[in-house]
Amino acid sequence: MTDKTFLGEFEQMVLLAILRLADGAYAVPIREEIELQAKRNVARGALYTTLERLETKGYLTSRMSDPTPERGGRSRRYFTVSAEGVQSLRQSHEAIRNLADGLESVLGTTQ
Amino acid sequence: MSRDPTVRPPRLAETVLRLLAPGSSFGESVLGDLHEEFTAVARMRSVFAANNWYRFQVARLSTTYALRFVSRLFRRSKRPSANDAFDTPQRGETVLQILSDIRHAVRTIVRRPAFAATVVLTLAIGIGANAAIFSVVNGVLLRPLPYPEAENLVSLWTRFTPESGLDFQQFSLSVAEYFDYETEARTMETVAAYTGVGATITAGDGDPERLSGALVTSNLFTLLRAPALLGRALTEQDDQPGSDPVVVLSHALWQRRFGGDAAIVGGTITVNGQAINVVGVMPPGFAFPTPDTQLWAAFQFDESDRDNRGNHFIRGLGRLAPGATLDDVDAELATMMDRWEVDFGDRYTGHFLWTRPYIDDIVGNVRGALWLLLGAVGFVLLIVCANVANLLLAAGEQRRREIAVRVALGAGRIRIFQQLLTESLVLSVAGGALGLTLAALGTRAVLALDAGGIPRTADIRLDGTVLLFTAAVSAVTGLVFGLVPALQATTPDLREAFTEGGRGTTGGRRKYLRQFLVVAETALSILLVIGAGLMVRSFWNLVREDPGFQPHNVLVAQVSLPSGDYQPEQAALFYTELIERVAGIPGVEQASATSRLPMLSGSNYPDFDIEGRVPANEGGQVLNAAHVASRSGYFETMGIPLRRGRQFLTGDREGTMPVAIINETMARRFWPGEDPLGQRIRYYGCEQCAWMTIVGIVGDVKFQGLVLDPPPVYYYAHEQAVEHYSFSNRSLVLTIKTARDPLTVAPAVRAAILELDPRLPIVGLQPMVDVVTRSAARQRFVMTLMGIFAGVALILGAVGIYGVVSYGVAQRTNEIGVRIALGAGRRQVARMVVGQGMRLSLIGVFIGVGGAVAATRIMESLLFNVSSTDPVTFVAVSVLLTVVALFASYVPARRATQVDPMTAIRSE
Repeated sequence: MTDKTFLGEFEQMVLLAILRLADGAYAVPIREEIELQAKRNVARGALYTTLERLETKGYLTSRMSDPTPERGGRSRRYFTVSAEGVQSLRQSHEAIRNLADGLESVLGTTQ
Repeated sequence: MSRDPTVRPPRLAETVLRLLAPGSSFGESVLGDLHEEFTAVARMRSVFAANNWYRFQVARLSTTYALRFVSRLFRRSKRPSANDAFDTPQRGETVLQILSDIRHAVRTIVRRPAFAATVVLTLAIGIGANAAIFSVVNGVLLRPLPYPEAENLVSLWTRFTPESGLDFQQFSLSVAEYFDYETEARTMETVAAYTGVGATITAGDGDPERLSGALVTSNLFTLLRAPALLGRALTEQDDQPGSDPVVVLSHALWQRRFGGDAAIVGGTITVNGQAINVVGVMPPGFAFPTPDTQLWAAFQFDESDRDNRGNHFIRGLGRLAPGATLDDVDAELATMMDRWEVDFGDRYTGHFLWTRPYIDDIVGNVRGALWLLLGAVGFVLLIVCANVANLLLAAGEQRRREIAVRVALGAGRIRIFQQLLTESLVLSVAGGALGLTLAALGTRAVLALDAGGIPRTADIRLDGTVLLFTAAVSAVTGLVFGLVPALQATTPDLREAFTEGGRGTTGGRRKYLRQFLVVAETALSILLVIGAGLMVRSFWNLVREDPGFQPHNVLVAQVSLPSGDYQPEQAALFYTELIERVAGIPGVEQASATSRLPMLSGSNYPDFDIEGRVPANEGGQVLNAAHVASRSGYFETMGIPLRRGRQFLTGDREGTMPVAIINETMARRFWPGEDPLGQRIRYYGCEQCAWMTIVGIVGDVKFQGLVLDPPPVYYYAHEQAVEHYSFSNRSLVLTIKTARDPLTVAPAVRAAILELDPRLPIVGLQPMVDVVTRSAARQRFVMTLMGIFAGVALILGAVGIYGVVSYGVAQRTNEIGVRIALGAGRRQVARMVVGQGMRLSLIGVFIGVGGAVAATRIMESLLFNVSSTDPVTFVAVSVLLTVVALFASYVPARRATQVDPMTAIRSE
């Protein structure tokens, strides 16, 4: 565990968005989900780079759909969070939770 | 509201993305995602908006990918790490490394200020010229028109093919044609009609003023989705004949003349001597159909107008119905025209309606010229790249020892490659920054060059798109000119580099590369110079083109009498009195007036009848000609030659036989092989109008600019118009022949007009020569810019040849010294060196001429009386370039002949 680097904030958001979208997670809705839930503007370039990186790290797996006409005859790339990805998310969350413990008065009641 | 489910993203942008995106299936999915979102944007907004959206996204993504490419390049030299990317310490190192490379690059560059200045300045010229022309292209051609969903606006024209007896590619509509189309068209959401009119306004602050106004159908405002700022726009009620005339003001007019007083809405102003209610004020920036249109009123067509198919004077504007495309419109129109041909017989033989995107009306005639200039300026940039690459290669030769030392000390090749590429990028960024400054000045200069030839100049500015373009151009330029020298420099042969003064035949590949660059440069230069040469020839032909009249020492000024104050008879008397007074001004030789001035007349050619021939409405040929009211003495003041018969005389007045004078084209077209003199013509379908007897034939004059051939024209005597046609032009242009510079009498002419009626506005008081000059403004504009680009290309080409040859001389100093020591004559040495330069440039000339034969074809529509493969231009330019190349090689050759053999050999 000490070997692992923690996930960046944006990486966490991407992983969480993919988990929320379940079967329908490809780049377009992932971006929309983050913008909707986190109220942050997401640059497409940043998202694609992050997706590629997370896949290289083994936190994501992907599969290609059948090509569709509204995409100019191209396929969608659907992402799934791997077991390793979930594990890494847990670690990051736990770390944050531990650090936030006892700070409810500052951060508010939500955790 | 998208039209076509098969809309495609802009091809160029898509290709760019495909090239830059990762090549794997990952790249495919990125392209697919963007395509999908593009389709959504097109559906929710418009195809135009979607295209822009797509381009913007591609620009952003490309930046990301390009940065990633560069940063990977940098990272690769480090030890490979499984855990790359956002592993913080390493990322920090990468950034530090980039920063250190930049620092190092700046230091290296600053160490050689002369070299750096040359490179940055050369780049600035190339990038600046591109940014300037692109900002014009962007403002005029790429930015959407200022109406919501402007891409759905379609303009409506008619055409007469020779089959109809006429030949007009682009013609106005008749009122009946408009109403038929408006009723029948299903592919249009709305169709409106409009026409420009002059309006004299005497209300509010300031002198009486002649303004541009427009008569429109009230639906124009809903069609343009342009609601009024104050009050209301026109409504259907205003279209009804007999309803109270009302007017809508532009924001500018409201501010300027009425001090922005909101109470004007509901009030009354005097337009053309008539009191009219102001019902609304449009928002700032609304100007239709021309940028200077200041007020709008309704047509109020009555029944007889609606039946008139002959008089073509209105223009049509449509908005596509949801889901319809321009193809649908054309298909529908084709069926409609077939039906009209059956229903209305001959009138629609060789005469039909056609459409095109509205933006083409505005920018159509400059589009070709602007793309040509952008292409030309792109070539200049390529030449700049070749030149700078050449400089860097030369500099690289000098640094080979430095690089070899670094490699020997263990520096990785890629590290050095990065370093060199960083230097190029720093240079190109500096060049780009300076170029942007030049572009800001250049754009202003470009606009100052042109007197009214370019539409939409208000939309030209250095905006985000231009900045993005410049940044991209700078980056690509840096890569293009930096990549090859950097690759070259990082494949060093250590042994060779360390051998002091590596003798004679230095690195074969390097030499060939530089020679190739010179050949390419020469070829591109000749292409540009030939293009410019053709434009010069064409412009020369244009200004030498005989307009059919003598513009020298002629002053013109338009006077318009308000219809409320002047009955036709009074108008006729007014002009008689005015012309008499003007003729009495010292320095004025003769004065007259006409309703349509040469060069500036639009394409409004109404029908007429010839006595004894079957009228068009009974199945005869449709006869169209421009009709022009002229006062006696008109042809003399303008120097229009009389071919046969007689001119208008002062005796051609009311109570005498109504007469007409026709031009040669009219005589040829309607009376081939017959004598038109003595024939009688009449305004079409005007039973109460008198027949005019043709008493003379005058020479043709250019009516619409210098390029278009003159239409058939008949002139009638203005003095007779009231009696015989119960009509008189209240708006005439004075034509005043002067003894000296026409501007010297201008104040006196102005005074004479105002003395008769101080409320009259005077428009376009100017020498006729200015009118002629302005009509060639676009050609002059293109010619000037092409000339500048060609000049820059020529200089850069010469510098390139000079650089390579003199570098060759420097490299071969030993060899030359030995040759001279062995008895070679100075002439022989010079010939050898010049021969080297000439060989390269002649290959370049050869390739360039070949390319020009193919490339100049795209200029054809811009040329006037010159073939795009004009042999004179081609030969002259080839000779010019050869001479320049000869000179560029001769200078270093002279230096070679002065090599002192002893010094050269001793320096070994």
